[in-house]
Amino acid sequence: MTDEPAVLTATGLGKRYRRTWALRDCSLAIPAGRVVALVGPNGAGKTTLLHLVIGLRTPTQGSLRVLGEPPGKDTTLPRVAFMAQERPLYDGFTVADMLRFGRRLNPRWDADLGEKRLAALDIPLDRKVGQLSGGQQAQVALTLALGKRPDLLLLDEPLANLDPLARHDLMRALMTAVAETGLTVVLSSHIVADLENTCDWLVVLNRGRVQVSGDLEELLRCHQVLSGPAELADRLPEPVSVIEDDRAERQASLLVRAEPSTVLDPRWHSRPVGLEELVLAYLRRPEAATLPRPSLTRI
Amino acid sequence: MLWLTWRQHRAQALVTAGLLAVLGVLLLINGLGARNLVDHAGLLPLQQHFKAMGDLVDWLALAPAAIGLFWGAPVLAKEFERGTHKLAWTQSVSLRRWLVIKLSVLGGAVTLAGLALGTMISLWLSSYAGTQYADRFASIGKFVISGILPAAWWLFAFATGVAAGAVFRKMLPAIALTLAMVVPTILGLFIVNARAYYATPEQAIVTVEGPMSIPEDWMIQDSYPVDAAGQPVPNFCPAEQPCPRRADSRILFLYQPPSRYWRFQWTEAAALFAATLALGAVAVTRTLRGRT
Repeated sequence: MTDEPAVLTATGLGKRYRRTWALRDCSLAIPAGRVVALVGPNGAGKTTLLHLVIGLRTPTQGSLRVLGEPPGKDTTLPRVAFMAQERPLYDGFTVADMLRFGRRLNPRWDADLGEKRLAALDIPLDRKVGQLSGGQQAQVALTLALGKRPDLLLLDEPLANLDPLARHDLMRALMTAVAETGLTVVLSSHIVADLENTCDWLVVLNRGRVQVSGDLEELLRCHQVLSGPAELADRLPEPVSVIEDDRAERQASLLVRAEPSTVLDPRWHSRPVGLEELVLAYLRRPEAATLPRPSLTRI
Repeated sequence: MLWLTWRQHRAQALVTAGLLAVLGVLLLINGLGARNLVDHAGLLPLQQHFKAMGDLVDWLALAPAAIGLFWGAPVLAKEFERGTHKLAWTQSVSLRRWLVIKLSVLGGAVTLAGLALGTMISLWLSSYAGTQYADRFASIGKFVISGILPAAWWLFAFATGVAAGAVFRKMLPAIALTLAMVVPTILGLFIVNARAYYATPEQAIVTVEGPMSIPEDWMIQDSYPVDAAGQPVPNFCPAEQPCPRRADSRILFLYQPPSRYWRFQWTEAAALFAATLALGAVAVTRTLRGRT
């Protein structure tokens, strides 16, 4: 894992709008080839972080490197694609115009990909974008992002306002592209369930700070839910840290972080943790953090 | 980028070109007709012939407002309002380059269109040469739509619209600010007769005998009755003194001669261009710093 190059490195990154900090002291390293789930409640700073990465905003403090370069430059822009939350398109353009837009503004544009995708989706090229359904517009927006042949694809709430079928289609299209090209994807969502089976890296943002950043499998492996007598809860061994502590009478239910090899009192009953459970536990305790592993911040 | 600029603004470009073409044809027909009348007919038919076109042409002094509205304001305000700036500025063209190309291409197009109008009006007026209708200097309405001034005014209005869009980021307020800046500027300069102050005026004393006519195409800054020594005579005489007879009074004119036409054109164009640059700087810095 230490050999994976970082696609995105943030150090002490902060962004302030007037008096409020949307993002603060954010340090992250995201390795290449991952599908990153950026989760957090509304207003956690997800959109701000993505805007900083694509260059729509400039940081107030800290530093940010995207594909090894500062964001928003002529040299980085062709390699990073972005789909904004509202999935903006030019309503008066036809679908063909939108593809032409992609071709004219992107040197790495893949014309074949765009036309094939839209044909497969049955989206008529001569239709005005404003007359397409929400799901079709999302597909056109995704086509624009993928046609750019980016090394890093940023999607801000790509599934918001889509019906279940459109969500499924969009995720499948995305996963196909990832499998074919090996690009890195960062997608934000406040609905964790959407991301469960697609992502392999998790970043939890809360109140403008990074709470968790790590390999998803490893995170799930290192966390477990313990249930047992309450008196044991205060006598856990040192390497175990409690994220969530739920006690009723003499029973305790704890969500803890501990290496799987840690030996626990046999009176504990342990079970694996689910993704949603894990994220919610962290969000409820903003002061808890599982920060990037040292092996990754090195890069 | 050139294709995108054309695709997004082709409606304005085509309408502007179409209107200029129609106007050109009308001016041509009217101008050709005038050549015959100037030589052969009396004053009244000529006046009617001129009025047929002149009433329409008078409105062209307000054309910059339309340029600011339809060409300038949408450039940034529409992108911000619809959120499409997040699409446009995240392709492979950096915001800086996007701004440079959009503003120079559209500004260039507006300037060319303005030059076309100025040339057409100048040619049209020349067909009335030798009559008062050809006055392109004394008549401020014609001064600002002939020569190079339409280009300067249109470019200024375009920059105002763009800057208003950068400030408000919404179409309606941007349109309101554009109108609130361009229209009062046009009318204000007209009302205060600003052009008469572009240079120190010449002085001339005209002796009035019977009906008086001012020499051709003078731009008058001020005029007042004077006595034989050239001293101003009060307009209202005290009751106990005899008033000088108005019929043979002498009137001093402070005026700009028509030979200063081009000098004044360039003076006004330079002032407008300076304002254009300032507004362009506002638009660019507001947009670039909007990211912080």
